[in-house]
Amino acid sequence: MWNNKALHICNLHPLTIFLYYMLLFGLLVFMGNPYLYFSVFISSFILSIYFEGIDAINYLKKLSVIALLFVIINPLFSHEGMTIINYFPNGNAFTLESIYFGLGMAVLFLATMFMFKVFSNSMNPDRWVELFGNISPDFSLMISMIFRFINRFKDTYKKIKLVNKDKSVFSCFSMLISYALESSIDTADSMAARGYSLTKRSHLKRHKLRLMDIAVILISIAFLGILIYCNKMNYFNFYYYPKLTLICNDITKYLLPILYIFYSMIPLIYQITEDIKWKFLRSII
Amino acid sequence: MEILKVDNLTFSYPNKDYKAIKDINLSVDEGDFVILSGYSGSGKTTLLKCLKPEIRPTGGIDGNISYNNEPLDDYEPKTIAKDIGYLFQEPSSQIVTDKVINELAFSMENLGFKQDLMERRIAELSSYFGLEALLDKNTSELSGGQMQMLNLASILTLSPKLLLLDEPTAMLDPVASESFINMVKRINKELGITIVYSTHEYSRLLDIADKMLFLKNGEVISKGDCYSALKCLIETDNLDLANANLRIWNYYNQKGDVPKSLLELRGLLKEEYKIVSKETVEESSKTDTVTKDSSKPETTTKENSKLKSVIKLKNAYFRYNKNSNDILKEMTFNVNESEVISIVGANGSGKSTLLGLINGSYKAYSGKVKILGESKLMPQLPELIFTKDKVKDMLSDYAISLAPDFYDKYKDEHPYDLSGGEKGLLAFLILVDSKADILLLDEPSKGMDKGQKQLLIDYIAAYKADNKTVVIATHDLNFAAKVSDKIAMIFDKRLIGLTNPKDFYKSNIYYKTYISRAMTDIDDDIYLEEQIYASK
Repeated sequence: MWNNKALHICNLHPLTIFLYYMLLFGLLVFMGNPYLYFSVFISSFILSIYFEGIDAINYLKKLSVIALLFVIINPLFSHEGMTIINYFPNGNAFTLESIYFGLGMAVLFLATMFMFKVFSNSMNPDRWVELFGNISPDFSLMISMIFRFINRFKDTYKKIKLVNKDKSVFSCFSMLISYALESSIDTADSMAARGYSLTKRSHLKRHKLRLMDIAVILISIAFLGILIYCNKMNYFNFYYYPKLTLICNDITKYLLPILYIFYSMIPLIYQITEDIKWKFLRSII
Repeated sequence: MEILKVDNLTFSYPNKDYKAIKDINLSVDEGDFVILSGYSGSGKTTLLKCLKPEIRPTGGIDGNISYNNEPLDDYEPKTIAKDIGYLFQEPSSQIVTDKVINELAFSMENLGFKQDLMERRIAELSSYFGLEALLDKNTSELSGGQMQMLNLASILTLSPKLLLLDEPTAMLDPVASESFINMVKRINKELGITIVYSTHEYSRLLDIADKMLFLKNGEVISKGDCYSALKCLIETDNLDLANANLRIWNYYNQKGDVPKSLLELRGLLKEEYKIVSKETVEESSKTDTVTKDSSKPETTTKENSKLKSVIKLKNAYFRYNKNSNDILKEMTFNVNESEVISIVGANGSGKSTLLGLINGSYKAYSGKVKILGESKLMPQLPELIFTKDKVKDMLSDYAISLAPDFYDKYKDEHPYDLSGGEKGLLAFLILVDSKADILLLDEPSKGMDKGQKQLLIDYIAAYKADNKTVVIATHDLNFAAKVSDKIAMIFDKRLIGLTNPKDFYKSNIYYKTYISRAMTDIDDDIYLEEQIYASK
């Protein structure tokens, strides 16, 4: 059961993934809504189990300790809220709402951590290069070179450390710097010899925007539109203090939570449908 | 058709009073394979870089270079970038991007190729070079040989007409350089691309090369088609640049044709040795055996006379991670004081790891590793132990006394400005300076020409005389034969056959020096050129 599987959203275009997650992150930050927190958390957590297996659960265990601190610490400092459970020795109120708020923040924390875990797993260096290649070929080359240098100098530093076991970190580092500078002259020569900077660069695209990408992007845009509209009309708001309240009119009462949940579940839905499709396809083979 | 013509080319670097290259004349026809050889530092790289305007060093240039009968500098930079490819010596520093496929696309992206064309070219070249499986890999994961293949493929994406290769195999191991050379030969034969190939080790290229050019101190000392250029080396007294075949042929009074292959060399040696052995059997068979016998016990008594062993390994096992496989196992051997041993073996067989184990960089998880005294490791990249900006700042009296000539010549240079072989010598001298009891050298002879290897051998011998121990990991069987008291091979993670070079090469069939392969069935005790000259 714990076999690590690839994430199917990796098949999507980097631009799609980037847009989707940036919007989701923006929502997490600006729309203080517990439905969203929960659904992002659950969707991302299940996806992490897909590619990490048992490690995802261990990760959750570690994070839960910090999340628990949110729940404990918030009532100690925040004394707002109408439902008073008890009083602290110094006379401050201990309120139910402050616990709710702490809980909300804890889930937000978990959701963000897991969301970025999935995001960073579906955006490897290669996809960042591709993403920026669409914007500017020069910038994408820079990203690609940075990734190359990081790997290269990490390896070289290890080798330097191995040979100069009696030297200080500082002198090892200075050796690395002079090696890096000297070898970058070779790199520059090699770039010049291969026609760098002679004309406007083009960019090799490795992914094409497919139907699914366009669908996700369109859904994102539509979703964003709906949200902005509802927000402007003040249709749907959530308050912890002074009392846990959901301000919403009748249309949005059920619609918006469903939309939130649907939107945050898109990667998971995609993962599961692709899995089913693959099982079906394999049965034909 | 003449694709490249060089007339009286002279070049001098700024602030240097001598000329890097002088009055070079060269004419290359389309489809030619030209070997450019010569002493280290004789101006090969300068000449090649002058032929590629983008990377031509700053300095005074004189003379004419024409490409396709028109002056090279009149061409548009774009045409030159496309038509003339240049491959550097160091495989890893010329790679620009992080993924293999991006690297393949890099040259084409620079020139603004269209998406379709790029995809086609990448598909073609990756199947031609067998790179399909590597396309999604990080470039830093590749081996040196794969990197150099990738660099070549990346240049070929622009379909150049002329390829300039600057010692492309100097940093590669024998297996990788063999497959690289085969690829270059294929490119020349199948695609008709003109090639100028600069190298010290040209023996494997002689069957395909049309022309040769030898440089010494920036001047052409011999040129023409291969064998006439080689013979010309004898006349100009530059036998160091010749290959073993030619030297042996010359030694035996230039009888018949120059042996072109191992088989022809063996034929020559067979004849000569018949004559020699007849004479010696008749005249001095007794004295010969006496001298041989007397030399043997001498060495054995030396070994027996209480030399303490400084490196003791007993059943040592090593692996990098808990879950990985063993890299070394059942390592059991001793190395005595003032002994030089060489460890040979295939790529990735664990030679470097063994050096690291002796150096204490790695710990054996089972078995005993006992090292008496201080050890120092010389890495494959000599640059990694250069700490100062001047050669003279890194060497003190002890190293200077060992190599006064080297010191005088290079003391004011920046260590990074030295050639590959000189860097290796400098790195060795830096280690010598520390007066460590044990020196561990990882591929020290990489990128060295014959003279530099001899220098290194002399330095090692002098260092050994001070009761020091040297352990060398190398691919260079000839070098190992000359320098070491004992040779061992790593195979299947074990150390096999730690004996003196004579017995080592005698009992091997494939892992032999060139000479010992040629001397098979003639005289199995001979494994070095020098022994042939001495045996007469």
